[in-house]
Amino acid sequence: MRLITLISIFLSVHGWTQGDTTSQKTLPVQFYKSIEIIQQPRAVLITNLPIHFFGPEEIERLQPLDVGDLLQRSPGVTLKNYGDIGGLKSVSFNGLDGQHNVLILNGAKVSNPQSGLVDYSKLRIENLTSLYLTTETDYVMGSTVDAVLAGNAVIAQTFESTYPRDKFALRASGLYGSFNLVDLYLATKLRIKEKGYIAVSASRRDYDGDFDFDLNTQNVTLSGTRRNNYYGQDQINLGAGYSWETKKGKDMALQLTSFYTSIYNQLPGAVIAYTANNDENLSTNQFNINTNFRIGNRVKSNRYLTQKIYANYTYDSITYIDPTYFSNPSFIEHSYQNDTYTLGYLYSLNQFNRSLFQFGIEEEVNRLQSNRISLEEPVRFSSKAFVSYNRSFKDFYIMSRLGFINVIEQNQSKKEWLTPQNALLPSVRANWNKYKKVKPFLSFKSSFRMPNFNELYYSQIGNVNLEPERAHQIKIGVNGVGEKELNYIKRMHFDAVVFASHIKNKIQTIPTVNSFIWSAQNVGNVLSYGTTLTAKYTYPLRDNLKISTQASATLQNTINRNGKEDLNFNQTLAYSPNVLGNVTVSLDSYGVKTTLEALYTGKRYSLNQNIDQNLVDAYWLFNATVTRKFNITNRHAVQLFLSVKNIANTNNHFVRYFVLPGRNFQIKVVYAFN
Amino acid sequence: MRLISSLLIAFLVMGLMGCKKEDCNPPENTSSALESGFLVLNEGLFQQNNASLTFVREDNQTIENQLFLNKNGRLLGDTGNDMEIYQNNIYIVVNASNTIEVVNKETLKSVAQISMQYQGNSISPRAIDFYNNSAFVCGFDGYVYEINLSSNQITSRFQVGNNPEDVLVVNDKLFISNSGGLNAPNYDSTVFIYDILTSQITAKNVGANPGKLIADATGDVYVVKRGNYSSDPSSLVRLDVQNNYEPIALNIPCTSIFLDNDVLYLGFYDFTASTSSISTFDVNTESILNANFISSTDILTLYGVAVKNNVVYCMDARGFTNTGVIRKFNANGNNIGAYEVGLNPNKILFYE
Repeated sequence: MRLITLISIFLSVHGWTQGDTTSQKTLPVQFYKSIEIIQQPRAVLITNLPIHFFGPEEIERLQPLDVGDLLQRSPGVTLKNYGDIGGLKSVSFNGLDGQHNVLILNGAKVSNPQSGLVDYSKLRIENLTSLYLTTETDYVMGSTVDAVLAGNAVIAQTFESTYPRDKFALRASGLYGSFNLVDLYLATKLRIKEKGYIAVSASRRDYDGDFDFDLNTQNVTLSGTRRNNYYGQDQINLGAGYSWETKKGKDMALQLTSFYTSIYNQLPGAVIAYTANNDENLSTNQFNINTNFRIGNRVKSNRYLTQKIYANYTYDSITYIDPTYFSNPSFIEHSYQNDTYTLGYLYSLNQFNRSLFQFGIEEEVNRLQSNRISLEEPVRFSSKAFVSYNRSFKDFYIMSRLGFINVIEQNQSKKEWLTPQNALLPSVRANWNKYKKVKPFLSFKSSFRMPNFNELYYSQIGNVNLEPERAHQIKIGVNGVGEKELNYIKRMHFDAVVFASHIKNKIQTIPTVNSFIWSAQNVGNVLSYGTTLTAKYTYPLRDNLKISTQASATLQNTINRNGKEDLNFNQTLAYSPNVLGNVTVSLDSYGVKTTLEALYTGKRYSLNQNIDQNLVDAYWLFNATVTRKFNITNRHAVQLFLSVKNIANTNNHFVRYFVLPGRNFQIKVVYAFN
Repeated sequence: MRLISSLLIAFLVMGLMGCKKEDCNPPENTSSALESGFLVLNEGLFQQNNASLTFVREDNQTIENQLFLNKNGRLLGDTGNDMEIYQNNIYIVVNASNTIEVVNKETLKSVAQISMQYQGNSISPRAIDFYNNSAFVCGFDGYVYEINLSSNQITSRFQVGNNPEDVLVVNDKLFISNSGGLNAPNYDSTVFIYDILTSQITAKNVGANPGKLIADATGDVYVVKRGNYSSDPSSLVRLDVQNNYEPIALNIPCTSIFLDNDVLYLGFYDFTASTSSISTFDVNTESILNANFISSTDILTLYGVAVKNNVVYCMDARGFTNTGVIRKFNANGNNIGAYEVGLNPNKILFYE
């Protein structure tokens, strides 16, 4: 009866059974950087790449609100946060802003060509099984051509895309938090004939968001209540896959993933002194379907060939409403529909422990339609390709790649073609593997990003003459591990990276005619340089008692390099903190896991002019999570989570006057079957 | 014990008597009464809460920024659009904060803060002018509001065109320029003339996106027609008082305007070429005096112009995201000095 009662409550579990057939017990995790999962792992290339990997356990410990909240723990990441739940969250990495980064979800790109950004606040974490951020993708089969060529990629995998270990699995969770936050989640997965599966999940988030604030700024305090802050999201995810072996010994796999999400959120805007009358809201509907077909076969005794064809469609619909806008008629209702079609092919020839030859081609079509006539109905055709060769030597590993992008675009309402854009994108990396514990590397990468549709066409802001941004990244670093192991995992890891990124033709929206009329311009050159340092250590105090610590720090400077005639030459760009950091201490004690976390965001400027009145204060955030798992039987488990966020009740804002909530709590109950 | 108490009291009294006023009451950073200079309204940027006041004292070349914050211990607000003197007070229209700050013109201490919300809705006030102890304030909501200056309360309102940008009282008439800026590219193009005595309104078509209004001594009203920022450029239009205020397009490039005696100083910021210039216009002869009075590369972004004692003060917004500069030019158009002020200076009031 108790079991039935528990089942009747929505619960979910992070990471008990992920269908990950690569056993972490047999593979040294510090080298688990890029592994392609097919039904049986036939083609595996192990390299050591400078990435930050979030596995199920870490996601569980941190209890982030969304993927954006999780990503800010990565070294080198600056999260631009406009208001926590429901507020836009974009991610820049090593000085490259959000539009240089792509999100690959279950092997498919998720993006919005109109804004060029991924809003990470809208990506849920209940069904997330792994997430990592990378500049280089050595083994491309889990990715796309676009992600290989982009400046950086966020690679995410969910419950719906992994093959199950058991015949049937069920996850459910329910969360209640401050400001009337309610999250519900239900997921199930069924194995089909030992080689296939089907999975479905559904989730609901409801959040009032009315929180009080006392914001100290410019030596005065602005107090009030954040209103017009409601957020509601429904999401359904589907996944299915089947793999088989032909009579000729070829491995075949067919996979399909899809999601639909519907969001309604109110927009509180920035806090403005003496007034609080915002009533704008945004409705978003996004549908994505992705399929891929993979063939793998052994070619000669020491080579394995993998080929993948993938196709992806994304539909994005956004409606912005301002019911009291001072226009004629006296409201705004702007609607936008984006369609994205992608078709791609990847080829990978792996000579075990020696070389990897890969190439890929991809065609992407983006289309925007809107009830705003000024947006011109653009259609964009992007053709991308790359060829790469990786080679292992006794003490070295070299990755070399040459990419190519061609973009043509038509303004359909005027039947005008924009100037075609082309780019050759070389990249190269060298790893020195002579020593087991310390592995230096050096890398160089060129990337390219087209202006988004808003930057080209939006009302008075748009500028059809914009040039694409071109970026170059250089990194020098070292990855290291300690000697001792715990459960086959090295107890100590460290990474130290020095990076420099140069962006040419940086696009910024700046006022031109007067302070109310802004337009997108290529404002010149930006240089970002710095260092990221990460260290992790696990110490077993005794059986059933261990302590883990993790710390990372980013020291960076992103500056204007337009030349001395520019008023802001050599000054730090707006919202580019010089210092970011986080420290996590976790204690596993007889089944109870306690995690304490401190996040630091350094000072930054609200405008590109570096003067005191533009300074936004640095702040600390302290979070704590306690969790306890109860194994009811060997198949049924219940886990409880209690989290307190912003323990010190810091009144803070990353973007000036977009206040973030003070101290708040969450209680979560999770149930898992298998 | 009595001796000790007496000595303590004596020391105390001596200390008070011996204390010069300037020692015991350290001088404020600024003189309590403003003089010998000019007050600048810095607009700031939307959603930055950084509208501010700067006082420049020219006799001793001192500048005090953040004057409102220093005097009143609180922020001026978000987007300061207009500032006018009336009787003993200065009225500052703060657009995004929906307030009008009333401060004493000598000390800049706050007298009142008028909330510009009507029935719970934001008015988004833009400009102010005065008539017989009342103020007329136009709001982007499409109304003009009358405020009783004794009670500082809104007493009435009347509807005008779309997004009125400026108001101007000339004799018994109120002129309102309706920009329609929030409806771009479908701008409004009218100036409404409201008869204060009869409440009658007439509309005149002056061209797209009318903004700043100014009147000369004869009663002619000039308006800056800003156009569409591309094919329809910003230029000057005159409403001829002799001909029932019928508009006359003068086709003189103009983005800002100031009247000094009988000379109009017309500022023009060409945003495509990023150049700034000032021409002069004689309102009596209705002709250009000097089409190129000032053409200086020192001015990066001309945002406004003011004139006092034959000295031209150019408000340089320097790209709209950097602190502004007031650049001084003499009667020959030569640069004679500069003062660094706040973000987007848009209005100057002079003090003797």
